Amino acid sequence: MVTLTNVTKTYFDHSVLKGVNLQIKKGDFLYLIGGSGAGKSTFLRLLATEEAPSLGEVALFGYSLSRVTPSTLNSIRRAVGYIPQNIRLIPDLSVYDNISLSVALSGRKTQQWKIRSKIGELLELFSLTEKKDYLCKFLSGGEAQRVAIARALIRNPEMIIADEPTGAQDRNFTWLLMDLFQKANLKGTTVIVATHDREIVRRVRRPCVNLKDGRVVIGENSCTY
Amino acid sequence: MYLLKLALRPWKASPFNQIFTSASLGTLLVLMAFLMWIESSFNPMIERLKHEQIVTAYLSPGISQIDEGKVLDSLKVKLGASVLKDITVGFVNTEDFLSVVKEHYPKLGQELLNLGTQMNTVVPRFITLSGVFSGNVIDKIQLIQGIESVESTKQRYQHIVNSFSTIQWITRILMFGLMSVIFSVLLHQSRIQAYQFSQTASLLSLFGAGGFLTRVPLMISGLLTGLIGGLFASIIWFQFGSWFSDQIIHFAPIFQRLTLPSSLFGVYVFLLGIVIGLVATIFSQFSKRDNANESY
Repeated sequence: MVTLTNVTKTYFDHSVLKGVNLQIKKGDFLYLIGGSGAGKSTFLRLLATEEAPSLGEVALFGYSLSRVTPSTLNSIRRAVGYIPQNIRLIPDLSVYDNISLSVALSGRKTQQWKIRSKIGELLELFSLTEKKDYLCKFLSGGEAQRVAIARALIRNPEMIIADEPTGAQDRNFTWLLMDLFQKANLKGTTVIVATHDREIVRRVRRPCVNLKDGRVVIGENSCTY
Repeated sequence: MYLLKLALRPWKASPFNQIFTSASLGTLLVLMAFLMWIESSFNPMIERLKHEQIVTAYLSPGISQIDEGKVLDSLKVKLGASVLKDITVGFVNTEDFLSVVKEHYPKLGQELLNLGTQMNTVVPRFITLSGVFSGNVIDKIQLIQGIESVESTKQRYQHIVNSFSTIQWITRILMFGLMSVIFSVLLHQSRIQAYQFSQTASLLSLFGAGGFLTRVPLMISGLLTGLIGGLFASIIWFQFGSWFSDQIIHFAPIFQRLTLPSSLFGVYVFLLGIVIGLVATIFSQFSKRDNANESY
């Protein structure tokens, strides 16, 4: 599903990731942990195809990203549900439009009433029903993050990439979200969650990829950092 | 629908800026229409001045009054029917000439009459031909027996033709300059919008939108600016174009041959606004993108 081969990412002579090798299989659920500045967000940006590695190769769904055609790259992106750390909503579109645009871009042929109904359910679940017509620029940080999560989940992606998705959320929502991730994972969706939250890692036990000094540490103690 | 909403973002965020840009575009397009009209309507006038002439063929003093008709007939035969159908032929005999002189200068008229038989050597008799001639018509007329000399007004208008040609070139240069200004203004406006839109475009791209799809909102926005500017120009042209052109035409007798502008000019400026708006937006997206983060 995901293969990283000798991946190095450098920003202005500073290497954030150094020769990372990793394979993630379809249907895996794993945490990406590490201290602040360890390169978790960079790692996820590479998986989300937002950035390309400085060296090495990233392959998603069996396609090496450095060699794919633009249309294949778009198809890969459509199969990914990415929740970036900096949220990145379209500020002048409403909550509803931000979410439904994500469905439209996913290329899935779904009837409009089904999309409306599904968005309605997610908004209800995320306590956003009353704010569905609000422009996203008027939302609080926590609300915006929930919209970003809904935007990723609504497209039924084959892979969810979540960068600190509970950073601005209360405990109730955190467990609700982890429950949703687990349900999606049970249906075969690959889930990769970067988190600082030790309690999540402890309560929802899954394998961890620990990033230390730009290198991946996997083993018995990888879930501690 | 989403694309339209995204395209309307600049209009919602800074409506006055957008409206002002469109109005400026419209004003420049009206100027452009005016220059287009000047440029195009000078053409028939210049062509006419270049080729139209009045040829005056003076009869020899030795030709008697009886033979005047024969000379005129010879001239008509020499020119041929094909030339004659496009020109006007007139004949001024001694009596005609004297009557005109007497009307304006009675004393001089009387003095001429007092000359008696010698009058024929002083008072000219001539044939006038006005219209569009081919090059060798003067040579042909000169060969006719009974014709003393031939004059043409062809060279008389040369300086006017030159002046009009110069004005026409200046108009073309102004049109080019105006086009450049319009294009630059819209290009810069589009670049600013493209910069503002870059975050959204990269987000759309990250969610699987193709290159064309990420460009569509900007293209619609540019098209809208051009469309409103063109509409503005078109309305002004339909309302005031004829009046303004009329003022120009009546400004000086020389302009009276200018044709009134076609109402199609209003349609042209409208379409021009749309095309410039769209093209400027497309061009604005060719700028080098910041690729510090090595994206795909």
